[in-house]
Amino acid sequence: MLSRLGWCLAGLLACVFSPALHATPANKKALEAYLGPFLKRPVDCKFCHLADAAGNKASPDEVDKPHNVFGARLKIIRKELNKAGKASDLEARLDAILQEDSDADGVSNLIELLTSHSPGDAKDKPTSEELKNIDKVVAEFAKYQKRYRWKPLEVVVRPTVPVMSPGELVRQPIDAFIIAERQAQNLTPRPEASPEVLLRRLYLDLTGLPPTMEERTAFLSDSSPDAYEKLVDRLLASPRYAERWARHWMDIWRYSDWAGYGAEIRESQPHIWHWRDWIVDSLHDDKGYDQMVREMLAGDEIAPEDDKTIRATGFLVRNWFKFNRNVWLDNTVEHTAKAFLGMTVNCARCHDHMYDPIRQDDYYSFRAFFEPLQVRIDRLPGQSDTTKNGLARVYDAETQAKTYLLIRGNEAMPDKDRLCSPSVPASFHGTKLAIQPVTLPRDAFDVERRLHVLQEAVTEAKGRLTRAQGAITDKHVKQVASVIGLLRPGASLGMNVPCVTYYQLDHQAAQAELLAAQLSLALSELKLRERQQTTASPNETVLTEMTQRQLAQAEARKTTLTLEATLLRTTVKKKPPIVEQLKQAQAQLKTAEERLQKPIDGKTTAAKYPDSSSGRRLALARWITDVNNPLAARVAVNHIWMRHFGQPLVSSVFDFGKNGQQPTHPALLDYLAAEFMESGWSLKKLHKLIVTSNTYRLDSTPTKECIDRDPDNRFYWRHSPQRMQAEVVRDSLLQLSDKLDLTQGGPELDQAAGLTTARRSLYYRHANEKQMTFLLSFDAPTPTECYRRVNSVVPQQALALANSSIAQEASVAIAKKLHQQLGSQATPSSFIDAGFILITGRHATEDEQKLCQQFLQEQEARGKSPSSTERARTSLILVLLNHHEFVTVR
Amino acid sequence: MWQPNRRAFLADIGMGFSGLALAALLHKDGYSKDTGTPQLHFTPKAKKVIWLFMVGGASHVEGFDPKPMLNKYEGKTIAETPYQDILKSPHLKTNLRELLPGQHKVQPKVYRMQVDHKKWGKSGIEISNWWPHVAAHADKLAVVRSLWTTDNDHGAQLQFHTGRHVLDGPQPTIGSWAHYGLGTLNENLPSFVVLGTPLADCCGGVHGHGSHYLGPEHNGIRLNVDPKNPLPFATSAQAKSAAEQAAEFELAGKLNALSNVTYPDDPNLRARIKSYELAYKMQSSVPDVVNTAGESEATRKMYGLDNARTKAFGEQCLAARRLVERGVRFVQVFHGSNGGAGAWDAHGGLKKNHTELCAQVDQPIGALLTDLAQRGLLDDTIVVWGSEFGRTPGAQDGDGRDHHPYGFSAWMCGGGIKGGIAHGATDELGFHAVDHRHYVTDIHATVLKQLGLDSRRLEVPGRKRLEIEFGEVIKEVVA
Repeated sequence: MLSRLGWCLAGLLACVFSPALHATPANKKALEAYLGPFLKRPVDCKFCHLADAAGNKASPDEVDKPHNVFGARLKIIRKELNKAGKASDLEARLDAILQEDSDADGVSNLIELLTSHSPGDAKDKPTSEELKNIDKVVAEFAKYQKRYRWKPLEVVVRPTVPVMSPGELVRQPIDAFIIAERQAQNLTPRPEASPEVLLRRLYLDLTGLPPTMEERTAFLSDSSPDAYEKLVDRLLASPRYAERWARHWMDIWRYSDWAGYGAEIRESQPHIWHWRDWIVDSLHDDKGYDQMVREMLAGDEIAPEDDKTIRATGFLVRNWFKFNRNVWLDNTVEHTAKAFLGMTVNCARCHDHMYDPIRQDDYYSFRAFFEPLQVRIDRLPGQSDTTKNGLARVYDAETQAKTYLLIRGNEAMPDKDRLCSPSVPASFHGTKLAIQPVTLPRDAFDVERRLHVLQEAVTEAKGRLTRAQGAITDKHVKQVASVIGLLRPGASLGMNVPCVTYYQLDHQAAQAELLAAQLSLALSELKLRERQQTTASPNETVLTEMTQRQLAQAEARKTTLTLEATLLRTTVKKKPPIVEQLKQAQAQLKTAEERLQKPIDGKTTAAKYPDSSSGRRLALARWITDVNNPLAARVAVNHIWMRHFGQPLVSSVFDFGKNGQQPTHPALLDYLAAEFMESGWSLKKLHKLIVTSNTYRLDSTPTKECIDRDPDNRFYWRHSPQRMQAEVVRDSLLQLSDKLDLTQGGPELDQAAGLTTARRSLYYRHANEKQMTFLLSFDAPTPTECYRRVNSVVPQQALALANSSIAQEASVAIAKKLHQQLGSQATPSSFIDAGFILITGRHATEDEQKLCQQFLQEQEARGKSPSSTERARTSLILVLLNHHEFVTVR
Repeated sequence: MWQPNRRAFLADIGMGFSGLALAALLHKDGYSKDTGTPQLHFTPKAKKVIWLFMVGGASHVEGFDPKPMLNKYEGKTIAETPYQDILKSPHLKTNLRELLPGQHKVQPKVYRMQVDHKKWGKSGIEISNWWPHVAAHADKLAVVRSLWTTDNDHGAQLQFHTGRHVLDGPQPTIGSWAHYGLGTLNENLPSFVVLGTPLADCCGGVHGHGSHYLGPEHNGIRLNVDPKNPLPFATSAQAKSAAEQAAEFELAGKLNALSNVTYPDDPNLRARIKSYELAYKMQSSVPDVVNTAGESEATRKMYGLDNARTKAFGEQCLAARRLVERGVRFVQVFHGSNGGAGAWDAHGGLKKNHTELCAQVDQPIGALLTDLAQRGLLDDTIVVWGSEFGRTPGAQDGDGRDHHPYGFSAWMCGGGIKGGIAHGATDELGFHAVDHRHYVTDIHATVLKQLGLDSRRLEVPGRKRLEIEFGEVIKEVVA
C-alpha cells in the first residue's frame, strides 16, 4: 500500500509537471487582477477552457480541459508578442485581443469579460439587459486601464508627482500622492497634530524612547519655523535612532543569538552580537542600504581583511544549523529572497513556483550562490580564546562547490544530471551575472599568521615560560629534595615509595614543561620574524619546523609524565580512564619522536582556509542592489513605511510576487523607491522625507464620517495610532524613571536579567527559547521569522505592567522624580498633571484630574501612614503606566 | 493598528473563514456582545479539549496495542519470524525523514512484552496491565492503533502538535488552531492553557504549544499548578493590599473609558479595557483554578494526591478538569518532559521505566475520565492521549526499545467520540500501521471536527499549508 505521504507527493507531482494545471492558479489570479473591481463573479475555467463534454480528450500536456477559442487565441498571441520582442504576460496578451471577438458571437472579448461571459463560447453572451449601460462601463474600464500599474518585476521608473491645487498642504511629494487618492475617495483629512503629540510620536518612532521633560520644554518653546525639522535632524543623528531602527532591521534580517540544547550550539553562532553592533553602527553612519546588503551577503569578499565589515556576514551565519546542511541553505535562500527581494523563492524548492516565474531549477541556481560557504570563528585581537570572543563569519570553503537539483526537494534524491550553476531566475532583469573569483590577501585566509595572533603568541609564551620557571623553583625542587632526603639508606620504604616516584615524575613533567615553554617562545618569535620578512629563508623555515617538532615532543612528554604521576595518585577504581588517556599520550609521544627523525622538506605549513573566494555571493549582492533591480528598493521602502505608519503600502511585505497583495499606493511606492536609490540609498534621508510630510504629521483623532467610510485608514486621512513595540515599552519604563543605561554594544546580555538590569532591550539575548518574558508579553518577535510584528492586546500585558518589578520600580522612581521637580509644595493637581505629561505626553483633562484626585484621597486613606501620600502618588503613577495612552503612540 | 489591519487581513481570506475567525477575534477582543458567537463549519459535538501528551515515546505494544506474537517469537530476529515481510515494506523508506540519518535503525531482535495484558470492559479492548485505571474506561475510549509519523527522533513531539517535520520549523499547533477558530468561552481565564513542563528545546520547546504565524495571542499560556506562582506577573511584585490594587485597576479602567470618548473608534482601546478586566480577574481566578486544596478528600484521593508517585500529575489532571469546568477551551498537559528527549524514552530498562511512569499517570488519567463523566463534562470535552511515537518491537540494549514512527497508538474519549473502539491496526509484531493508516494530523482533524471546525478551511493567506497538515477526520470513531 502506498503511504499517504507517497500519495500526497504523487498528487503534487501530477500538479507540478503538468503545464496546463500549473498555469491555472497563476492565470486565474492574473485575470482577476486584470479585471479588478470590474470582475463580476469569481474567475472559473470557462473563460478560457471548454466545458467538460464527452469525447473531449485532453492533449498530453493539458491534463485538464482543453482551451476554447479565446484560450487558444491567448496562446497564439503570446507567440506573436514574443516574436515581436514584447512583454507577453497575461495582461499584455489580454490588452492585445480585447477588441477582438474570439468566439464570433458579435460581442467583443472586452464586453464579454466586463459582463462575465465567456469570450470563448459563442453560446454564452450577454443579454440585452446586461448591455444596456455597457458604454458607460467600457468608459470606466478604459479609465481604470489608465491607472498607475503596479509592475513589481519591472525597473523602477520615477512617477510624475500629481499636481495639487494651491489649497492643499503639500510638505513633501508624498503628500501629493496621498492627497490624490484621498480626494478620489472624498475623504477629509485630519489637521496636523499638536506639537506635543508630534513630539512624542517622533521620539518614540525615531528613537524608541519618550522625550524627557527638558527635551519637551525645549521643543514646545521653540517657535522657529524649522523647529520640527531641527528636531528630526537631531533625533536622526542620535545613537538612540540607530539602536531603535537596528531592532526593526533585526526583525527583518532574523537576528538570533546562538540557540541550542544546553551548551550545544545548534543554530546561529556565539558572538553574533558583532553583527548586531554592525547594524547599529551602519545605521548611525547612514551607510547606504545597498552597501549594507552587499556587506551582509559578501562582506568577506568586499573587504577580506576588515573585521569591521565582515561582521555583517552575521546575516548568513545566523542560518547555520548543526544538523542539516540543506535546512541551513534552504533558510539562507528563503530569507535572502524574502528580506531583500520580497520574493517567495522558497516555494520553488520542491516544484516550480505556482504564481511567480521561478522554476524549480531557479531555486537551486539561487542556492548555488551560497553552496561554497561555511561558517568559522576568527580570533580578534586581545582574545585568543574564541569561546570567549571572536568573529563569527562566513567564508567560501569549497569555491567550486556544485549544486544539484533535488527531486521534489528531497535531499536524498539529487538529480546528478541537473547541475545548477549560480544564476538568478531568467524572468528577472539583467540576468547575466559576472562572477569573478576573489583572490584573498594572506591575512584573510592564513589566520594563524596574522600579526596580532603571532604577537599574542609571543606574549603568551613569555607568560608560560615565567610560570614554568616558577613551578620548578618553588614547588618541585623542594618536594623532590625533601623526599629524596627521606631515602637515606636503610629508611623504611613503605608508603613512601609511590610518593617518591610521583614527586619525581612531577619534577620531570615540570622540566618538560619548562623546555616546552622555551621552545614555544622560540617558535613564536621565529614565526613573528618570518612574517615580518618579505621572504623567509629556507634555513629559517627548517628551523621553524624543527622547533615545532621539538615542541610537540616536549609537550607530549609533559602530558605523559603528568598522567603517569596522576595514575600513581589515583585509587584503583578510578585508574582505568587515566590508563586510557596515558595510552593515547604515549602514542602521541611516539609519533612526535618519530617525526623528529624524519627529514625536513622546508615547506611552510598550509594556511587554514582557501586563498580565494568564489565571488558568487558578491555577484548576487551586486545584482540585488543594482538600481535596475526592481525589487530591492521597493521592498525596503515598504518596510520603512510600515514602521512609520503602522501599515505597509504592500501588505504582503515579503511577497511582492503575483500571489502577493497589490499596493494601496503603487505610484507613491515607486516614487519613494526612486527617491531612495537616487539619494544613495540613504535611510536617514528617507526617514526625513517621510516624517516631515504632512501625511505623517496628521492628527490621529478620528471623525465619524471618515471612520465609517475608511475604518482601516487605507487612504491616510489620519495618522493611525500604534501600540509601542515590546522593546519600546520596557525601554520607556526605564527612561521615564531615569534608570536607562545607555551603554552601547557588546556581548548579548542574559535575558533573565532583563527586569533587574537597565540596558536597552536590543542588547539582551534573543534566540529560540531565550527571550525575555516581559518582552514576549508584548509580542516580541520570534527569532525564526518576523517580517511584520503582531500587536495583540492580551491580559498578560496588563499583568506585566501592573505587577512586574520593572513597572512598579518605575512608578516609585517617577513619583520620586516628580516630587523633586515640583518641590514639597506640590499639590495633588500639579502632581497629576506632571504625571500625565511625562507618561502620556499631554496634560490631564478636567475629568481626569477629578478622577485622579479622588483616587489619591481614597488611596491615601487605604495606605499606611506616615508615607501614605507618597504611596498613593506612586500608586497613581503605576496606574498611568497602565493607561492605554502610555503604550499607545498617537 | 492591530484591529483594522486584522480586519483588512481577514477580508483577504475570502468567503467562509473570515466570518468565523473575525467573529472569534472580535469575540475575544471584547466584541462578543456585538457579533455573537463564532460561526462554525459544523454543528459542534464538543467545546473543550484536554490533550495529554507523554514526552519521550510511550510504548504502544505495552500500552494500547498488545502483541502476543512478540512473546511467541521472543529472541528471534524479525527475519526469522513469519512476518519477515515487515523488513521489505516500502514504509521503511517512505515513512521516514530523519534528523540525523542512521541514528535509529530497525531493531532486529524481537523483544517480549514486559507486562501482561487482557481484554477490558464489554468491548474487550486489549490493553496492558500497566494502564488499569485508564483501561477501566475502555468502553468510553476510541483507541487508534494505526498512527504513523515521519520523524524517528524526538522532533516528532513537535510534529505531533503541528503536523510538520521539525526540519520544516515551527508551525501553528493544534491548540492554537482551535483557539484561533473558536475564541474563548470564559471571562476570567486564558483560553489555551499548558500544564506540566513543556517540551525541551531539543524537540520543539515552546513551539510545541505555539501559534507561530497565527500570532502570539493564540499561544498556549503556561500555568504552574502552584497557587502562589501560577504564571508570570500574576501577583504584585511589591506588597500591596487587595483594596489598593483593586483601586488601581478601577482607576485604569475609568481613565481608559474616558479616552474611549475621545477615541470612540479605537478597537485596541476597547480591547485593552477588556484585557484589564480579564487580567484583574485572572489574578484571583488563575491561582484559584490551580488551587486544588478545596477539592473533596475523595476527589483528591481519586487523583492520587495522597501518593507521592501520582501527586504531581494528579494535580495537573485535577487542574485540567477545573480549567475545562470553567470554560477553558484547550488544556495541553505534558508528562515526562525532562529537559531532554523525555522520560518515556526507554532505550534501556523499559520495564522499570514504564512501570514507574505508568504508575505516575494511569491513576490520575483514570480519575480524570471518571471525574469528567460524573460531572457531565465528558459530553462536551474530548480527552486525547498520545505520545510522539511508539517503541520498536525489537530490543535495544537488551532490555529497552528504540524510537518507532511506523506504527503506534493514541486514544480519544468524550466529546462525541465513540467508545469501546479499537480502530486501525499494526501488523502482528506492532511494527507497521497496516490497517486504516492515520498520520498524526488525522487526530487533529477529528478533534477539530468535533469542535465544529473543518481543518481544511483553517488556512491564512500567504501561509500555504501542506496536504499532510490538514489531516482527515477518522470517521469511524466519530459518533
